[in-house]
Amino acid sequence: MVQELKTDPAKFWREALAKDGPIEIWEINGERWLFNGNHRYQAAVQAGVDIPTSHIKIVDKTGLTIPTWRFDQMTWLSGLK
Amino acid sequence: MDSIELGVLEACHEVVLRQRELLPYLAETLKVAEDRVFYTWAFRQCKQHGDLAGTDWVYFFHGLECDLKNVTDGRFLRIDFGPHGRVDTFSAWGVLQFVMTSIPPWPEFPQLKACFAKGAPPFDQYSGALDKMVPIWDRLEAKGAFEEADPSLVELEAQHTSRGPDGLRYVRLPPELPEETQVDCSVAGRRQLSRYGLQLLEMHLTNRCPITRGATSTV
Repeated sequence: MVQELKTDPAKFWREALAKDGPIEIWEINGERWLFNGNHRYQAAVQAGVDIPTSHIKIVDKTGLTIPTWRFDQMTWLSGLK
Repeated sequence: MDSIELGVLEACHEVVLRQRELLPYLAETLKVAEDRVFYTWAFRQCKQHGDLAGTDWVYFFHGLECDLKNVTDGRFLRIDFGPHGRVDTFSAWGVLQFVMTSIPPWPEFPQLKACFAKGAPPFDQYSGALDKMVPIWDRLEAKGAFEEADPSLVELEAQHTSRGPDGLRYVRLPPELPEETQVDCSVAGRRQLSRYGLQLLEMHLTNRCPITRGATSTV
């Protein structure tokens, strides 16, 4: 995924949106948590590539109680790292 | 409509059948009702991955989907959940992954595999080229073979979405809206077969040899 991003970021983002929809961030009591798009976000950070703003959706989830995890606790989907 | 387009329509239909076939196993593993599987994951009340007890299948939840893989024969199914925990919805990528890995007891799609493959067999869930699939998908969309799973929820979210000064989209749904409905909004735009799409599919299947119709499976 990181390599794909470095090779052709426009193609990567176009296909990522088609595959998995926008990166969805939940804002829970002032803190932002990635709900959808962890792999893409991590890959963009590693590749040093910007995420298009049009691919990001921030959803207000004030008051929601839900378990959360840090990135270093993330389980990677096979074949996507 | 050409044979590739009809083949993709048939694959969409098969994906729905196979999602319905495997959902009960997932529900049993999570010990919840079938229509609660999506919410159970969405609110992180289950393990992200594991085995489907008594089968050769493993599951892996991510985002708004669940990948299912048969570790013995390589069949792969991505469940693209729809609103209300429905599984009659699908995505181009999910259908492509299914097509590239589907073998008996599920239907095979030799023509589609040849059309969409990035390279030579053997194929796995990453062997399909999305950029080969998208033009076909777009044509089916343009012809009205697909429709949104729940247009009213798509509209609801649009009404409560604004663009921030940072260029990002902000969704602030009414707080009295149940959490389940709020999550439903995130998948309401997923595609399902339209009435027209189903009619085309029925005509296509009727014209085919009966022995190839209605393939069953024991997972």
